[in-house]
Amino acid sequence: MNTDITASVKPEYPVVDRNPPFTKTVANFNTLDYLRLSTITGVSVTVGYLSGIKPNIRGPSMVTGGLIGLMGGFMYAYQNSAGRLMGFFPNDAEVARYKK
Amino acid sequence: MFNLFLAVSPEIFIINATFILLIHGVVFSTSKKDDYPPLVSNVGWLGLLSVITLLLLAAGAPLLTIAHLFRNNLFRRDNSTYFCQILPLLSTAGTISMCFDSFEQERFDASESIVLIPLPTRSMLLMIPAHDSIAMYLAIEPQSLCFYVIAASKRKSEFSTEAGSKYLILGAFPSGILLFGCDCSMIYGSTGATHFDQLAKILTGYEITGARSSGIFMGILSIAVGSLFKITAVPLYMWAPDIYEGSPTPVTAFLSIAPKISISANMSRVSIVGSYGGTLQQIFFFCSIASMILGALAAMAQTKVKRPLAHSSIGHVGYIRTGFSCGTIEGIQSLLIGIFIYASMTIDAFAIVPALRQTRVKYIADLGALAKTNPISAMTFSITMFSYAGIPPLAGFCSKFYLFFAALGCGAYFLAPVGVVTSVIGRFYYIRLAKRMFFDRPRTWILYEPMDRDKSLLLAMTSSFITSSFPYPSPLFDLTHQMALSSYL
Repeated sequence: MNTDITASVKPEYPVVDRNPPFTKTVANFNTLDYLRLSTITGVSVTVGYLSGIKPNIRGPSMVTGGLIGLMGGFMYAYQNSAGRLMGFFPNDAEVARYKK
Repeated sequence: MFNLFLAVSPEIFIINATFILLIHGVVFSTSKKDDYPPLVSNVGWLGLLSVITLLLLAAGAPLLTIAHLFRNNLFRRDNSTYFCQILPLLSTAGTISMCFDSFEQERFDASESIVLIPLPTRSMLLMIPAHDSIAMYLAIEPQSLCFYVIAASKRKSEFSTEAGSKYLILGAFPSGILLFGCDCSMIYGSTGATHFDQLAKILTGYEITGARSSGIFMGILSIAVGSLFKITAVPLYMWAPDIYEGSPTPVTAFLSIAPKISISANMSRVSIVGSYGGTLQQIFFFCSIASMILGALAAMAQTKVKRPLAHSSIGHVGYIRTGFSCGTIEGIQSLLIGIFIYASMTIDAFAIVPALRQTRVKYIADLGALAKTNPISAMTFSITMFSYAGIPPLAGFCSKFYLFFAALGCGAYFLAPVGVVTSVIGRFYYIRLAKRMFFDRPRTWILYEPMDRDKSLLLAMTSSFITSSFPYPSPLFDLTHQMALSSYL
């Protein structure tokens, strides 16, 4: 099964990996990516808690919000990390690390 | 397999988020320990959070194609799909924020109906970049199925049940026609291709003569019929007023906006890339003119508040189709401008209607003296109606201006004057609503309750866009120009 991904738009920055695998992308998470993940998760947990006050299900609502936020935050961080490897986003650190 | 994860991460996210919300809603709304709590606002806020996170994912995604299976690019994300994907997500967020208070006021405790609002957005995200007719159909159908269910979500209302049943039965026909036309029988049988790039190579310069080309003609006609039904274009609009009237008001807003955006974007791709030609253009010219005329005339006899908005939606489909019919870059740009402004106006109008219905306003006659009791609501509603009517300096005028200029630019000298005349005629029922609010006495005096905070915020945002886009249209103009160019490149 051909799962090749190609870019519709030419990347603006140097391409480190045109089609980075999952493990490489996750390993490439930087501080900002972890900050994005934790911020989205934190906001989601807060929204879950606050929305759960009225029906009196604070805990479960927090868990649901946390799950959604964790998933969304991870995907957002993944997108950014893959985007840097593919050359769509500024990637000086990736270029220095992989193209020595 | 993980290589696909990046390309479809927004879709994967929203599918998983809606499943989590559905499980959460079902488990805790039926929990005896928690005394069967109503979860509309809880699930609503979590649903809104999911849609905003989805917006973040869709806006931040690199522009990618996905080569899958037989080395065909089934989905292609470019600048035009980027914009067209953001717009339904904004509409979904607006719809969910309308639901909180209106569902509570109507004692409509169905948290699953809020979960069903973000679910078709997943289909829209797949439909908009679809570059193959099978992928397009597989994306249209889940969207339609969700619409049938949310139209009937108010189980205790016979109007809502009727709306859902009617939508299901009438929606099955164009789905079948669409499948018959493009995927299984006609186009594929005549050309052997389902991918839009292959169809473009086969159909460019193809003259429709002979037995094989009659199959292609029937296929193109079927695609047009199937799509026109789903966007409530004349002559396939008759289901719309009843379904819009019977469905819960936030659902009506969603049905008025979201499918029009996604199907218009998809049809642009089908037509421009795949099979545009004189045949399709003539079909859309006719439907544009008919929709504009019917939208202007049919709403005049209406007495309820929601039905004129439904007919207005049909009329606006006609105006938007004008841009599409041109087949030029300016036409596509005006289509995108029209869709964006139409979505803002519709969210604005339908956000006010549930606030009024809380005080049992159902008929136009009940709007009397709204300006005295709730002047801000009256002013906002009037601005929205004037914008619908195309009165400058509001966004509706901006939208029609570009659409008619695009029509004149492509040589459609009959289309533009028809559009202008129908706009003038249609102003009657828009201004009638404003006249009721400011100058008439109501049949019975109603105490209007203050609007809730969520709707107020939504109205503030959409109203400010409606009033500010004409004086400063550059951002929208530049953005849509870029999107239209990428459709052709």
